[in-house]
Amino acid sequence: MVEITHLDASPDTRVPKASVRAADGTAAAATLGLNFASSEQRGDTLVVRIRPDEWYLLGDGAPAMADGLDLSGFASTVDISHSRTAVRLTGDRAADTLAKLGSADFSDHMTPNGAALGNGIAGVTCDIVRDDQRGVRSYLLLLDGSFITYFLGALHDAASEF
Amino acid sequence: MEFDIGLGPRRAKPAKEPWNELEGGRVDETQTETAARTNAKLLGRPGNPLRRDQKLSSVGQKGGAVGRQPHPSRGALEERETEVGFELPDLLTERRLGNVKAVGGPSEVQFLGHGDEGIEAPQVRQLTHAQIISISPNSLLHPHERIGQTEAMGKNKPPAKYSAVGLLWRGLRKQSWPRVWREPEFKSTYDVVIIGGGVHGLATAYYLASNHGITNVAVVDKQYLGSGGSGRNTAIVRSNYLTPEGVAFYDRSLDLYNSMSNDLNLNVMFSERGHLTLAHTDSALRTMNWRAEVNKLQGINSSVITPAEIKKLTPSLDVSADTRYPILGALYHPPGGTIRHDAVVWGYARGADAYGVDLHQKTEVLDILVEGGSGPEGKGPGGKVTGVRTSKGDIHAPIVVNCTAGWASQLSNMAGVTLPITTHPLQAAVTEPVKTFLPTVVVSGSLHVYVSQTDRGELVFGASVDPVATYNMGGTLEFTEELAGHVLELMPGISKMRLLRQWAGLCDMTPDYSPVMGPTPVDGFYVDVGWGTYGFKAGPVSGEQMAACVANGTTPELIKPFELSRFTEGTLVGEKGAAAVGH
Amino acid sequence: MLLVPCPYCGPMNAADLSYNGESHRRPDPKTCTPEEWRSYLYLRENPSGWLLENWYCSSGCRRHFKIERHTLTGELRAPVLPGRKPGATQGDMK
Repeated sequence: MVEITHLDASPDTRVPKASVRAADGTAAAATLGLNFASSEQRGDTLVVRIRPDEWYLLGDGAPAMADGLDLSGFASTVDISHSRTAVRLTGDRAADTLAKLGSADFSDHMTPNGAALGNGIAGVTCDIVRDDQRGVRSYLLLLDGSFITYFLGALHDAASEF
Repeated sequence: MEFDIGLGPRRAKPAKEPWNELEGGRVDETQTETAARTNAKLLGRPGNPLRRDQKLSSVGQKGGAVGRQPHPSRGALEERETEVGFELPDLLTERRLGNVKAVGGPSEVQFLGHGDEGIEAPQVRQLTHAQIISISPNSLLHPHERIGQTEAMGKNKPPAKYSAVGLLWRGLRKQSWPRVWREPEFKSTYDVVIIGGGVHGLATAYYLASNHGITNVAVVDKQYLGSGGSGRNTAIVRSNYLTPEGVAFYDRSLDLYNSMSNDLNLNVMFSERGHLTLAHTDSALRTMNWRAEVNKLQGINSSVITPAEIKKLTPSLDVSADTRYPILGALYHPPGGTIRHDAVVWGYARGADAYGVDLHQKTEVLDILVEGGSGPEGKGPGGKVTGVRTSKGDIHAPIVVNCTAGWASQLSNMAGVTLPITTHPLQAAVTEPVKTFLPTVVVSGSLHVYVSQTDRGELVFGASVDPVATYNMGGTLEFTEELAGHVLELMPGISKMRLLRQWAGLCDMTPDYSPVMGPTPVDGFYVDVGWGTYGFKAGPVSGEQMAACVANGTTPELIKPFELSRFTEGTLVGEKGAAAVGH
Repeated sequence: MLLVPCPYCGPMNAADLSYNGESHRRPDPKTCTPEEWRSYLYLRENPSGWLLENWYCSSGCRRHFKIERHTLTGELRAPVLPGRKPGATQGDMK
């Protein structure tokens, strides 16, 4: 059983999102920290180091956290709440569903809870965060909003087996 | 009293025997004159690079045999004329009497006359076609067969005529057909060496011989003839291109394909079944309309049709509005269709062989010999080609033509010429055979797929090139998955069909998706490469044009825009209608 | 399937990356001739063998990197990030 939720479809589950680009050695990079490809829940904000020089701030506290950063040096923030849309995939077979559509290794060994990665899922470039919900395997997927109708269909197709 | 039957150098086709065109030994004076004129022109043509280099050994050698040995340009027919009518016992008698004389080695057998004409009469007895038919059905057989296996097959011997009568005769006599082309001896000197035994190379050789009388030509291929792109493509031909230049070029190719079965006396199974290019978006539909108008101006049968009309033509297509990529219309091109690609290769090989072109298979070119160039080892711009080094030995030749696909860059690099080419594999697949249900060729640019059904009932699928440049022709799962998905979008009804096999061919992609044809900075080194995903369609016309280019030493107008120099001069050609899918 | 070892993401399916072809040193546009520039733009060695290529990890870390690949066998050698020497790529992930 896999639960697919389009979080941004409802005001109740909507996820504010901010992207922070910060070069090595800047204050923003030092504040956000984390290893590349990992994430951490800080209060009501999920901080993800999705790329070597880019962090995502996801959750209700994201705008405030982005605003509070010291952007001196080569650093910037962008509100991506409306360009990227968030889909949550929860359930024991969530990894199997993703494995059918993507090429990454979604096993616990390679992508434990907290891992972040970029991968093409059903041909759509997605940023994926393993973000287990109360002990149940769960993935937060961020993708370009214009693909969402197709993407949900593809996920539904793939998950219907489980 | 030597004469030609009129199928002289220009458009002489050994295969197109005019059994019914000439009657009862009548020889048309004007035809003889034409032939003589053409020969004169050939021998003294100014600007012919072969003449310039004084290496026209075919003419030079034949010079000593004037009067007996026919000129290579029309040798095929003439020698046949001299020989048909001899039957095996006669031949043995002749040989005993010494009337059979070898000219130029054992491979060239000449008959100096029939027995009763005496040894001293060095005249060639001419028989007309009408006489041939009346004399003996034996004349339908290959000379090779008639003289038995003891003699090596000579140059300029015509291939066995493929006809219903011949088939019946062989059937009744329980005889098989002879080898289609010779396995020639390796010679160290040729006038022209063509690298690549595919449609382009063989067509170039054929038209060099038939249109320009240059027969001292070798075609070398590292594998067997047609082993590259010529045998791997999806065999679709069409001429509904976007630019007037493109239309003119491919329409000429389609013309040649149309008459090919007759020209080459080999059924190439050209199936003019209609070609549908589907439009899934408004912009695609707009381009289709544009293309249709360009085509109509050029006199090409091409029009945009509605989904209802598509459904009528090809019922298996899903033209409903609720698919992911609904079919909004199509460019319908009735003259487009499919052709048997192997037969095209064999037809040209047989035709070229009949003219005396040597086809060397399993002969890999290891190096191209160049003198006086600005690069290392005297190669590169400013140099001059002196020959090629092959796995069987060196060949000296003033002209080398690179007609390869896949290895075009490697071979050109051997001459010190860098090409604007990257090599990508293109994969194709075929299903198990089923009853005929797809009457047209269906192409979808948006879905990156083209489908046609073969005469055997298999569906042949092709796609665009793989994104990563490689010389590896292995198949990938991504291709199969994508292909299946896209084909099922178009034709949901075939979901239970199984793929039999998939394969790949190498495509030489250029920055502007147009070929590279004509001379290079190395004198005597010509290229006919960079055909990307559509070399097969253009095979005949590029062979014809390359032959003209090599024979005359100037680039014909039709291929002028495709010269290599366009990349350094910044005059790229954008033929966006050239490839069906994939750019 | 070609597995391309991205210096950051590790082995990636080539379908998740963008292939940017042969790696050439760009001539200085201020001083080079048009012919040199066009040669840089269009002409390719296209060897059947080892070739230094540009790749872009488009769905992963969005880094450009160079890698040596054998165009016939598909073998790959250690990737190189622009401006760095081979072997010094895994260090600064933090």
